[in-house]
Amino acid sequence: MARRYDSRTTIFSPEGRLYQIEYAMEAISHAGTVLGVLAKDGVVLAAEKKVTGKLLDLSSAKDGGYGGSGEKIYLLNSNVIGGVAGLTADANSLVNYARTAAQRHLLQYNEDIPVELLAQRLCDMKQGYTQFGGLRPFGVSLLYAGYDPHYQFQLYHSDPSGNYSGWKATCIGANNGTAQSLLKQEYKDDILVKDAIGLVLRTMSKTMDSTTLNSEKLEFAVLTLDPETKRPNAKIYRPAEIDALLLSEGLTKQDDDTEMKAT
Amino acid sequence: MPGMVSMTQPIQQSFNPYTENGGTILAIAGADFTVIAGDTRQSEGYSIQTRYAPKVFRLTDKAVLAVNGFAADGNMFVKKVRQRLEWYRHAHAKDMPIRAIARLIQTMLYARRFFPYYVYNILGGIEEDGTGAVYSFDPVGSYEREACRAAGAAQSLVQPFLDNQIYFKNQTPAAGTAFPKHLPLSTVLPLVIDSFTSATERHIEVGDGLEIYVVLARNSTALAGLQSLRGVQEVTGTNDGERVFVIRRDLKKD
Amino acid sequence: MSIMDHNGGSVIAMVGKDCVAIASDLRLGDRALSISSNFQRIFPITDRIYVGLPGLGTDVATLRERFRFRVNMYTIKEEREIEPETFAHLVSSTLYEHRFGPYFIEPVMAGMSKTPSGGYKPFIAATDLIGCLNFAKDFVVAGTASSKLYGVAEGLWEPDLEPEDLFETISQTLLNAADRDAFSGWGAIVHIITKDKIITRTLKGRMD
Repeated sequence: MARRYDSRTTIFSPEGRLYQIEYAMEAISHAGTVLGVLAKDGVVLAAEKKVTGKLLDLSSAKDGGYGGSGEKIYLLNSNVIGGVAGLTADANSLVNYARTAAQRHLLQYNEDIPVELLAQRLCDMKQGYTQFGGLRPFGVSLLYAGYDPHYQFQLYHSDPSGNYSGWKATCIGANNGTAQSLLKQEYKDDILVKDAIGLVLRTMSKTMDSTTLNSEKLEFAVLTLDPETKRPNAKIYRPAEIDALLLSEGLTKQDDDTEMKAT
Repeated sequence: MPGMVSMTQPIQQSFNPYTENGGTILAIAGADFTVIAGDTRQSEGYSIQTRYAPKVFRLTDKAVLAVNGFAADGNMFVKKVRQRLEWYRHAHAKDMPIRAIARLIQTMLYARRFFPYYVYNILGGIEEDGTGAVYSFDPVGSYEREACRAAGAAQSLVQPFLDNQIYFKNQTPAAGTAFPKHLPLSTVLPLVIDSFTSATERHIEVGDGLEIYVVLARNSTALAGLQSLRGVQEVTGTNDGERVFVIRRDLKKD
Repeated sequence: MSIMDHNGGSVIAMVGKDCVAIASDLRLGDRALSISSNFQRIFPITDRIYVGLPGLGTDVATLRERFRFRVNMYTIKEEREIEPETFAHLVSSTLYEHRFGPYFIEPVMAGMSKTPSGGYKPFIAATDLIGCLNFAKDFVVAGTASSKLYGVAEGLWEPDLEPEDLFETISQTLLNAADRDAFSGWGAIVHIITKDKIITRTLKGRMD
């Protein structure tokens, strides 16, 4: 019915909709969940991985680098962590753009890019893909967990339309509605990071598709402030650290089979 | 088109009377000796004219002159100085003392103030009081007595090394001790050789061979050590007591 | 006057036994007028790589920030620190990009590079202002006092110097060479880099 008006991004439908953007968001609604919670002393990000399996080579995540398998959670700058949901290839391109934008700001102003500014840079680019060029939009939604001296800890969400908003807690990807309502009930304004971690993990365990809650399916990151240097400390957890965290939160969920065998 | 010169402006052609022949010289004064050394390479641009062209010349048993810069001027200047020394010998029945030779060289150079000898001279030898002396000159006759001086292509490489090793610049002596005012010949000779091997490494115009003249005062303590070295040739002319020796060494030929 | 001589300054790096040293003077001038006696021209790139940037002062600041940009991008994408050899090539290509309108800097690098067995090997390198690399085994020099630095270093350096001895050697080399150069001096700083720590000292020298 709307066929003639959805093949080009630069055209409105008669109802005043941009279908390509809506189709992009549809793609994202099938992607792995990404959850973010803003606390007084930090920001917490968690994500469900969809690309898993025994044959996957994750040796670089285990010992080298920053942790994270490079599917959902990325370090964008020393003061911003990004979580992506949607087409991974598109996400890679946007993450690269974000990293370059952050360095360009550093080169010009000799300061870490303010979080909202980074979100704006990406959104300005994404909006361009909805109005000019006739190219399809990026099929990615992002969560930006960051710190700057001006507004301290912040959490932003941007979508393929190029729109963004700031959140205290939010969720993107599959089952984001469920997670969002859970967060609405449990979130408290003055929550601390250590409690936010618990909240995030509990919410993930209730909304994730998979039956297991372990480092194989979960990516996790926390952004805090180093008490001595007063500089942002971005930590993307390694698989072993995620398992240890789940254990300490009492959330180590096993396969139903193994659970039954134990009892 | 390439090779075609613009015909709008005339270009004045002229003969350049000078050229640079490379090489490096150096002189160090001891308590009762002086060492004057120079490499033996003569070059012009990237070409080597000869691997053996002496730059250090014995004037008397007490004075040795090293000349560096434009070889033609250097060689001619030495001839003229030797001629003046001979006239002095005829007139005064004795050799010119070294400080007088130094002053003579100043006047000879300044006489050509407006078409100079393109040479940096270093005069080394024994003063009337028996101490080692080094006098260094610029091309128009400005001169000064010093303890050590390097000149020529590798002057910028060698002089700071000598500042550190001879004058002990930027070094503080151990508590309760002091640096010696003069170093013995056994220390100075290896410093001279090291200066030239270092200069040969890093400067293309230095190399091929090294000629070191050692002038000893009467009853110099350095005499014994000298004669035990290999390849030492004596070139003393008189029996007044001062002695002059030449030591030759190879330097890298590349 | 050559643009490279306008602000003055010199840098030297030397190899020792399981260590490297990099040192520079602290002068910034406007031709013959001396302006600053604490002008930093050596910067850390990683914990184990330092780069010295002698030459035109404005380009010192610009290149330092351009390298920071590119090394940050490298680190964040590779998820590991850049190695000295790789950084040297990064310096070379950054300079060659401006082949026909160059930065008036002749960078000098010193660092410790990882060996396959997990140990560390001393590393030094230098480039000219358009990026020609020089991987020396003994020492590299650059700046207004470069010919003097060559002379003294050639005389004083020997292989396998321990960190404390390397410190004395590089310090004497820099001080005596700078004292013969009108455009270098007014203070000096030395960094000794070993596999697990970096010792930085400022030298007492002639302030003229």
